[in-house]
Amino acid sequence: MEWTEQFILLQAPNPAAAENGRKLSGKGSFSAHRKTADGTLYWAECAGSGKNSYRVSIDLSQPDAPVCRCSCPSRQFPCKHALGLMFELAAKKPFETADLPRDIADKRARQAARAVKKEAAVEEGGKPAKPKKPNAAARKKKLSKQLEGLDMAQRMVDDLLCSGLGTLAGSSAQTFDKLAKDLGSCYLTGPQTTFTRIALAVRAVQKDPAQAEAAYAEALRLLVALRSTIKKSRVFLEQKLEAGSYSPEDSALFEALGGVWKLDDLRAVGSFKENARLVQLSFDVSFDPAKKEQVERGWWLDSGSGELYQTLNLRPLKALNYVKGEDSRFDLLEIPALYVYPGEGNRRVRWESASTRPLLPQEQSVLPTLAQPGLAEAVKHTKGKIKNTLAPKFLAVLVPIGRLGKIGEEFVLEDSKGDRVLLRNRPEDGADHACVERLAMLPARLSAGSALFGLMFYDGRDRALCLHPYSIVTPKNVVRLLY
Amino acid sequence: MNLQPLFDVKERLEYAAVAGVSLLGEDFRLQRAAEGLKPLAAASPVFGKIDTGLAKLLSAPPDQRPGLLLDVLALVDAVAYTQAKTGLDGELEPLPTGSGRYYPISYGQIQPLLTALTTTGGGRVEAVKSAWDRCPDYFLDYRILPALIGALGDSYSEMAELCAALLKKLGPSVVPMLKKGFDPAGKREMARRVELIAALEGETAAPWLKEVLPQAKKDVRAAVITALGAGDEAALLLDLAKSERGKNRDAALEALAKQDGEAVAAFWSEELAKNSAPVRFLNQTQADWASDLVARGLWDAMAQTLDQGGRVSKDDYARLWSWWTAAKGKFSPSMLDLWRWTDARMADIDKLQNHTGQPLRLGGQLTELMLDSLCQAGPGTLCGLCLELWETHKKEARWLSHAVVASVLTRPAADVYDTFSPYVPTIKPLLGIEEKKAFHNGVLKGLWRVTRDRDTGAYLVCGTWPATQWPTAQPLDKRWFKRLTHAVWKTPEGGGSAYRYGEKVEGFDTILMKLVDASDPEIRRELTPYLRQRMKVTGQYQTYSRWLFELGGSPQGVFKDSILKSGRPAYLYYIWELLNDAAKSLTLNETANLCQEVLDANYIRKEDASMALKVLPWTIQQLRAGRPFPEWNDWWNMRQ
Repeated sequence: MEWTEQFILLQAPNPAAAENGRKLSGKGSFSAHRKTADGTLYWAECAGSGKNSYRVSIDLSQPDAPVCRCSCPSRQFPCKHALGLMFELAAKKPFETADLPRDIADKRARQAARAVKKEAAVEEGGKPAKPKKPNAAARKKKLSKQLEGLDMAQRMVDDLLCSGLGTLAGSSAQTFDKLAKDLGSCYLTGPQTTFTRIALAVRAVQKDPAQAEAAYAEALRLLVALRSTIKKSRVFLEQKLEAGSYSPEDSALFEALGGVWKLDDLRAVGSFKENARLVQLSFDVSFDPAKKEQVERGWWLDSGSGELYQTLNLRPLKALNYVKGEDSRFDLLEIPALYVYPGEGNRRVRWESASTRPLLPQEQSVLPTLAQPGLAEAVKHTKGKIKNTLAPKFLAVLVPIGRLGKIGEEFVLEDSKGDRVLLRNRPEDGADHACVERLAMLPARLSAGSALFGLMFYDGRDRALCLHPYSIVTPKNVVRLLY
Repeated sequence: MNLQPLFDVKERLEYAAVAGVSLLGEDFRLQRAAEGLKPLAAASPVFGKIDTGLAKLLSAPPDQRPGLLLDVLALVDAVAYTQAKTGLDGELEPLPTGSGRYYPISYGQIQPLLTALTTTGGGRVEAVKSAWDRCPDYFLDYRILPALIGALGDSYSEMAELCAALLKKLGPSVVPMLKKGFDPAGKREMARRVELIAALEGETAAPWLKEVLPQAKKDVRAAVITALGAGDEAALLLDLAKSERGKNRDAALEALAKQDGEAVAAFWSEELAKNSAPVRFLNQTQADWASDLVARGLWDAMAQTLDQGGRVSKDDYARLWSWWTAAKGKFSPSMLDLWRWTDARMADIDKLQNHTGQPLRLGGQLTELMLDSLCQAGPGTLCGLCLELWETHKKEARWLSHAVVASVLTRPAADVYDTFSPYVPTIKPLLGIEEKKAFHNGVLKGLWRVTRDRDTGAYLVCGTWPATQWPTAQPLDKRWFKRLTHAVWKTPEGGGSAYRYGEKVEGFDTILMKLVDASDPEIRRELTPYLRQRMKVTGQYQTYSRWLFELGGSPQGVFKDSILKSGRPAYLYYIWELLNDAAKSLTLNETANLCQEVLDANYIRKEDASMALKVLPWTIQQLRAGRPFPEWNDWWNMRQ
């Protein structure tokens, strides 16, 4: 197994932990390096701040999912000592062969016993575990509460518009915040977040009046979406109450109301795909001030179907050090079961397990051919999606590159049919996502048959449909404009 | 289709939402916009739907207005999206190709570096240095390179200078990126770009420099003018010296000092006749015209000073010294004549007094300056002059160090040793001790100017400002080490001393360690017992222990005595640092023995004494058990 810096960074909960691990390795804190004869376990002692060294090990029984163990009290997982041991492996430090330690052998035995038990259960009952019986009364109560909450949300929207968005300041803003919090107790965290976003947009105007136009437009867009959510959800929830159906359904409204999909539920509604192969096209990180969380987003291309998906790793600010971060991936992921969130366009995916391998040249050469036939199709598709009030106002697209160039100060993409689209940074993405200018810094000329991946969006400033480029997919590699 | 009426409606609806729908009935502008939409409504059903929605909104009771407004707005937005324009007409200009590279580097690898380069706060310099140490190639990545260039304008100058140094290491491939987005009217960042471009492109940067010069302002202008000095731009610089003022004129003079030719020499002659202050710019040139000019000016100034005799005013001394500083490293025939004349008038020079009536000691300063000048100029006529002066005054030590340096640069190593080693006595003389000590110091002062480069193993004579390095004619004769280790006097004291951990180490042993080849077993055999003995005598265990580690030796056996001899109870942290260094070159057992000696010496300052009694036995135990030497934190946590 090849221990690369990127692999280690992928295991790390955050870059700082990896850096601390690297420092430990660099200053020679590790001693008594040992490994088992079959190379499935590496362990060593790491000098810590206490008088006794920590005992740290990496179990590679499953090479794609190393199990790290350490006697330190850190709540980060893996801790810096385990990451440091990985750097020791990457530096090819000598490890003496030794017998498997007793405690690890015991742990492995218990793990194997659990797996056997699980397997036996599958063989006996045909299913891995009996699905939990839903508590119908509780769910009915929840739906009723949500309906009550929707009435309250409607009243808030009405009040806000009656008095005007411009009045959302001072004590009225505080009352608004309080009411928004009450929506959370009605299981409507989706609308609650939308109200918080509206309040943030209006506050942005108060801080910087120059932003007024864009901020009010954003607040209104949110209000329009909220109105639509309230209207559609009321019908949706009433139908469910009438029908006595309380389980999640394949509808984007579930998430819009604040529902959180579990993989079992997605499987139950049939929203999954077997044996998918994904290649990451882009990765970026942003901060969501309304939810106070870091959003790590990956954009993926299904190398079989050509569909585009996104992964979202949400790390609340308060628990940033304890929730594992994601990172860019350059290998091909082979995923036995890919769970796809309901919705249209930019669909979110998750998976439980995946194996990785390098992308073969012939697989890479196919990727640009999975692009839309031309810009016209991508434009039509985008317009069709973003006009839906509940949908985000952008769509991930992979479009063929005919020519890239500039007209005046504007970057322009032209496809082989001569259709063009403006390439611009999406203002909502923020300055740290600005990457259009990097097109003029690309190290080499683009090879023929390349495609461009990015987010197509509506720019209200000049009412144009534009494309925020994220990466160039060539027959030889994926050149990322972001990360 | 003209969609302006639709956008007018959208705008009015948005205003209404911001102002409040309760005022909607009085909004005549919205009503007018709704009127404007009517022709479109007649033409298309979707506009008809908007028109109907508007009519409903305008006639609705106040409590229904918010919902209706959002419904109409949703519809208007949807139409706006579907009617969005795409593309742009015009000639498509192909994009240029950048000069960076693309590496598949992950977010986790790029982001900390970009953060360090583009934000503020502590630890950024370290982050950039560590990233460079790990993978310098990544700095060429087309996403990182612009940030590295941008950091030339970092408000923390250490960061900006580090980035400039890294860009220089990346080589000429970064020049196109440095030129891209260059703002001639910019601030320090742009001036740094100019300096880098000039350093990376050398003389070939001249056309670009001339191109940007007319627009260049402030710092950038001064940098451009200075950079022009690297090429053959005498005519332009002469013009600039006439037209520029202040800092820019200084830059022009600095650049002109690097030029050659009659016109340049004539300019400088005229300039210095008017005002001698700019003579400082001639420091960095060794051209004959500059040398002659400085020699002539100095001769006049010195002659005038000596003719006046007695006291020299502060201003006169400063002016005189700026001329002498400019003479450093210059060796034209007239400069050599000046030195000969100075030597002849040395007795008068030594009599000069400062403005308070104290001895000026200009003679001593000039002797030092001549040594600096020799190290700057390297092998050549100045070496001949120094040997000539020494031959003329062999009875005094004034020119001995110069003769040593000149010989090291030009003569076989064995000759140098045979000629000068007798001045370093190994048996204490009975007569003329002070005089002999002066000669001993003269030789050591000469050797002080020689350094062994640890990377290449070459012996070098180093000049300063501008930094120069001249290889010696041959590697130093090894017999010097035996001679020096047996020398009677361990002076000069003023030859150099290293202060570490409060230890004042004499120049003599510092000179020895500057010359030593630690990989030579013969020298190691010679020096190890010597250093152990010196460590015991001086009590400077911190410095001498480290020198011993460098030679693969150990202070074991003399460590305790040296600690006791030091005369000051030790700080436990300094002891930890030393033992930590020991653990890097000695075995665990040897390190444990040193710990034991510290324990036996029992000479730790009283605040740390109880902690030492806990940590040292524990560390000995750890080391004997084959565990690594502990971190300071491990010791610190045991203090209770």
